Amino acid sequence: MNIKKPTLTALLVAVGLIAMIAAAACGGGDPEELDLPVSITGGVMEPGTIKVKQGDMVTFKIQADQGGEFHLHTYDIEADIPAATVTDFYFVAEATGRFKITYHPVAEDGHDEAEGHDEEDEAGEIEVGFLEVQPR
Amino acid sequence: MNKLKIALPAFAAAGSLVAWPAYAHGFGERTELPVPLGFFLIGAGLAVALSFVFISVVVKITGEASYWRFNLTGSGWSKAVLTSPVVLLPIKILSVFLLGLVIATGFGGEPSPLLNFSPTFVWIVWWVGMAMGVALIGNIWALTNPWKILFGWAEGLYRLIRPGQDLSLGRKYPAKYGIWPALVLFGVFVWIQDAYPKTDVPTQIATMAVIYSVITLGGMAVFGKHQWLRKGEAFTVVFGLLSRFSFTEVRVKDQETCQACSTECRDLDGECIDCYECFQRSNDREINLRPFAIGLGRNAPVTNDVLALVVLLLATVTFDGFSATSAWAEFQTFIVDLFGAGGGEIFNSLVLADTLGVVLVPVGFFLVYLFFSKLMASSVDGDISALEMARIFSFSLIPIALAYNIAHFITLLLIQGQLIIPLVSDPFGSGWDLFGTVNYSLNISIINARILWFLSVALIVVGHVLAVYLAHRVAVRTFSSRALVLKSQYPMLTLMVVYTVISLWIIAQPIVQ
Repeated sequence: MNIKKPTLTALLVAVGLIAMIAAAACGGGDPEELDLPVSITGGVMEPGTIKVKQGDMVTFKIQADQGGEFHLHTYDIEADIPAATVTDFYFVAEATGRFKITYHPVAEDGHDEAEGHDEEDEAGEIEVGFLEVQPR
Repeated sequence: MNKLKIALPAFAAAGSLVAWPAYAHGFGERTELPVPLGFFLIGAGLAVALSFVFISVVVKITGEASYWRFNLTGSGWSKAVLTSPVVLLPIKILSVFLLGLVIATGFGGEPSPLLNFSPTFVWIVWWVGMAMGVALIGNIWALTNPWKILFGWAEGLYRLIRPGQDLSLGRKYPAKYGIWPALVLFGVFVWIQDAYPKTDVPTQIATMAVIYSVITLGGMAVFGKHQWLRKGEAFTVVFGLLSRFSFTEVRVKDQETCQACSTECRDLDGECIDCYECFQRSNDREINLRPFAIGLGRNAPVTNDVLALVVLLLATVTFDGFSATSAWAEFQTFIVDLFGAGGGEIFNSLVLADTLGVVLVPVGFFLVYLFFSKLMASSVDGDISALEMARIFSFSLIPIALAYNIAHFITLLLIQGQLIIPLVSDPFGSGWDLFGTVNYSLNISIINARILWFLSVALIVVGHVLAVYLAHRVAVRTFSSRALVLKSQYPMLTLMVVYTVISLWIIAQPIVQ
């Protein structure tokens, strides 16, 4: 075998690019309807990173030990979560990416409860985790 | 299926309930997915393989200065457009207006960052967008720099009132200071971006814009417009460096103007490229298309101050991404544990951790680079010092940083950048709707993650190959024999592979903040 030198470079680039395209093309499958339990206890979300696939019709079944506002960033959907009952949070995961989820606990009397918490900002919003929407 | 989009009025409605978190790194939420392992491995493998194929078998690079060019100002419509005041004047007026608008909205607009024009415009459209624009297209900053334009206008007015006199004091700039003033100012800017906790507060942005305007206009008044732009205006210096990568250049053909206007504009091959002072004065000039990255391979002396800027720039780009990884979050936690979580809003342990990053990452970067330069110096056993090696090869690392920078910021620019569409209609957040775009909803699925992964890895590999090519060109120009060229390039290649793999590793990390 006697491969010409510039051909070798071109060959390497081509192989690499094809490999990447192949990696990019795989996957697939149809969008699913997903019910996912999500709990927020003491400012900690379980699971910390929620993973779904693009196009999935997702319902978070949210249960929190303390009432508050649940906020999925960039999608920018918010919901009031009352304490101790399961609240449905529905959306279609159209956009791929990794999106921040914050929770803003609100006490019965309307005062912020998160004061003094490590990760809270001035307004009492706590970063509790992420939603990862993988491409299909 | 419905497309989920952000309705901006929702921000307003939520505004009273949810105060937005402060973003530590400039402004804007990053939403990209980490690049999967497979892409990372293919990228890293390609970088290694191409490097060694390149150096061992393929290339016959000459150190020659000439390269392909196409003169846009030769004739025809492109010349008409590029030289017409009808085109250029509105651009200049707009640019000055935008600086004014940033200051006005910063002080007088809605304090919530997302409802105010200034944070999105300054951090995303201008800083991220301009950096990419100058690197890919050409030095747009030289045309749109509002301080340069303002000072130019003031000078013109002054000459009308007092003919024959200059507005600037025209003090001679002490040569020994080099570009250190620009470097210091850029260092402060980097610290603000990566460590200062209130980067998204509109009044703070306006204050910074005012302070920087005073410094810049003052510098031009004392040392003259072009001297200060070249030595003290951080963004002229930084964007000028990045624009060397781009596929356009300005060139002065007649050697006399080139020599007369400034001693620093001519490179060692006697060419006068991307020197705006000479360009303005010359009658024999061109705006050219050229191959990407070739502007970084020019044969011009690199001084210590320029080396320091390149190192700061490379380290900063890397640190901005690294500081969003969980590895950095662990370091922050370590520092907070060490010094306690207390402190003021600005002087606290978290800011200390980020400040350490801003300072130590460039220092560490420099030491590593110097170590590899030392290897290069000893492998050619000549009389070139390690520091000289570091200087002459420094520009060749820039394509790796640029490619990584694009991969790192493209999502932010494409998604969060859309915020500017509603904001131009209501820059103060006071309920206007000037252009009818105030209800624009962001298209958050504008770029698919898979395409983005492909693009990011491909870009970084291409950046790596260009870097290898540039370093090779410099080596051919510097060393006498092919054997020495090769010997010198093994350490450089190793360094480049390490740098590229680190860049790939960072984009394969989930963003945690």
